Amino acid sequence: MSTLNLDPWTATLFLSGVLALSTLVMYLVYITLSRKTPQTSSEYSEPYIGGEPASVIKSVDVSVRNLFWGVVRGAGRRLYTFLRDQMHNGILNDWGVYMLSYIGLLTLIALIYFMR
Amino acid sequence: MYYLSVGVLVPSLIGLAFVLPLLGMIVKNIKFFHAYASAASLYALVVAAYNFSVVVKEGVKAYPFGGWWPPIGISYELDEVNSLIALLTATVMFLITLYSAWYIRDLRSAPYYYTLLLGLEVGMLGCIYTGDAFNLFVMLEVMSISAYALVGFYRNKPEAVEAAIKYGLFGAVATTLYFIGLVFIYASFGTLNMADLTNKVTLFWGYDLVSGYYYGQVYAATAIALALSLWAFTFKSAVFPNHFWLPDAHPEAPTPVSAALSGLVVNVGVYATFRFLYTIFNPFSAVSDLRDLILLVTLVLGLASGLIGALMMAVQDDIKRLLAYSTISHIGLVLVGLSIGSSLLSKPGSQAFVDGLTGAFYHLINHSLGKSLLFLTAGVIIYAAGGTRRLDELGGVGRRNPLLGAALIIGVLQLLGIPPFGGFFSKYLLYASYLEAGAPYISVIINVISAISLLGYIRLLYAALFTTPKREFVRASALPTIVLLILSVACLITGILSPIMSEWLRRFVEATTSRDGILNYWLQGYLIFWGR
Repeated sequence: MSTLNLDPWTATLFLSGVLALSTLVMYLVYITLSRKTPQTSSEYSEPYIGGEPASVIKSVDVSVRNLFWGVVRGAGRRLYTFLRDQMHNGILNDWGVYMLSYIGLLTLIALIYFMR
Repeated sequence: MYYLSVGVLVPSLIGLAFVLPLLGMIVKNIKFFHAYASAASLYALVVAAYNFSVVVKEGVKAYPFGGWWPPIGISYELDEVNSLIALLTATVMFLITLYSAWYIRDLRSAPYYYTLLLGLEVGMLGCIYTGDAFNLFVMLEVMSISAYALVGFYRNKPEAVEAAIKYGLFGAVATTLYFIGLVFIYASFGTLNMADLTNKVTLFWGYDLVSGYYYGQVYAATAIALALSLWAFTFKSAVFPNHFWLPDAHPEAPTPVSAALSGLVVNVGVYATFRFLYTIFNPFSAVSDLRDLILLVTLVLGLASGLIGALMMAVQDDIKRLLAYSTISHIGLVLVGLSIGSSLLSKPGSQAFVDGLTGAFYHLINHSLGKSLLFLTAGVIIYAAGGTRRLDELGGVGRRNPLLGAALIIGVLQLLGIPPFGGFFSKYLLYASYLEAGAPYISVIINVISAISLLGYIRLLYAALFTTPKREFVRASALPTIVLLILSVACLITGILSPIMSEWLRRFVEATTSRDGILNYWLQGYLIFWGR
């Protein structure tokens, strides 16, 4: 049985091409088979979902945007309080502390190098 | 060799820039200034492309100004790396100038805008072309002063004026510190010519007839000069903790200027760091142990910059501010690639060394193209939405204008590092180089940075593409669309041609950073003139 050995570059480009082609084929199949007119039925407007009416499911729906902020604020509240409110607060003096600490560190390295 | 085209570009372009205000007093038709600036920028592109082709074919080229041989006079010197970065700068600046013709179509102060924009280009090209450490200071000032003025161009906006003042204050501190560093270098080595310095630091031939030998405490002076210079260079490239000015300054500038600042100006700091730590104070030099320490500092700062930029992207409401934080993150990644040269991580010429530097320059190119594309797209989006920069108010703009949506997706995929775009391959090289160097935890952090930045990019895509449009958007003309199309194709090409591009870059890196390459930099930029 022969094996195909590809370097990461060629393999990535090859797989990207295959994925792009597959997506195109799936899209073509979708637009060929999809209905041109919406299906209508008397039962269509009231689907039976897990024993509860659709309105119950709908009421607990969370939008993608709210989900995003929920995750970011929930998981990173303390981190962002520091990063945004204490570090990136737009106050020149506070920036200066970090920037001068950096030049201090570099000068310290220079002095240690010279003194050794 | 004595190459006129190397020396002619920067002085002639600054001449073309400063004629503009005078012409503004005579010519009243704004279209003339659009055409003039585009022609000047095209001229820079043609000369930069010619210089690049000559360097690739024939090797290092130099030009001594006024016929004064170095180290007495200033000389410009081009090798493979700086000629490539200059070509990238000239190409993107040409597209930005074309786009500006649409962006400031009715602006009465167009001559002043273009004077500053061309001044910015001159400053960048001067920094990249120069072979003289003092001329680098002068060109940094030319670039910075143009940038401060462009950030505060909308002088009726308090935010723009505040951002320009903050940028200008800290920028002046940075260039002054670099100047003090130069004082230390000149006092110790008796020269500021980069090729002569390379010779003296590497001990190819320590003595020079004009600049003499060494003076005073050379090691102490070198250490302090490197510390001061690195602080200035990391300020220009907005690396943590010298990045604070960028998220304020870049969004407040006119959008084409934001693209130039985020896509190109930050590259100058990265290039200067490379020139100082890989050519002058190179791995074979007498101060290689100091260099190793400094490269470890840049590695830590690069990773911190990558993480902080990516984290801050996720909580932005302003589209331009989000992109500005993305710049901080990506320049951090480029600096991580540059840091591979510490002998604690890799030996010069090893696989990890070459891969890391190739990845750094490849990512620099990908970032420049991707970021310019995103900023210029943001400019059209903001125009279409009636001037608002708030993501919440841009809902569905990409749906109403599919070409705009496509440009946004391509720019995001390029920066996020999704195949087949170039960003994937450059991040892969950075990742692989640290695996090769036996530091897998750094490779993991590079991936974590990419993963965190996804949050910010998703917000951008969600706001522009996945929200139902609730308002009408204005359509832009054909000119910006053409510019966006060219940049989108360029992003795709850097990915599809990645085997060729990475091989070229690998060759350039090897030619520039090897012992022979560094010796050649000295020979071609310095010694050859004295032999004539």
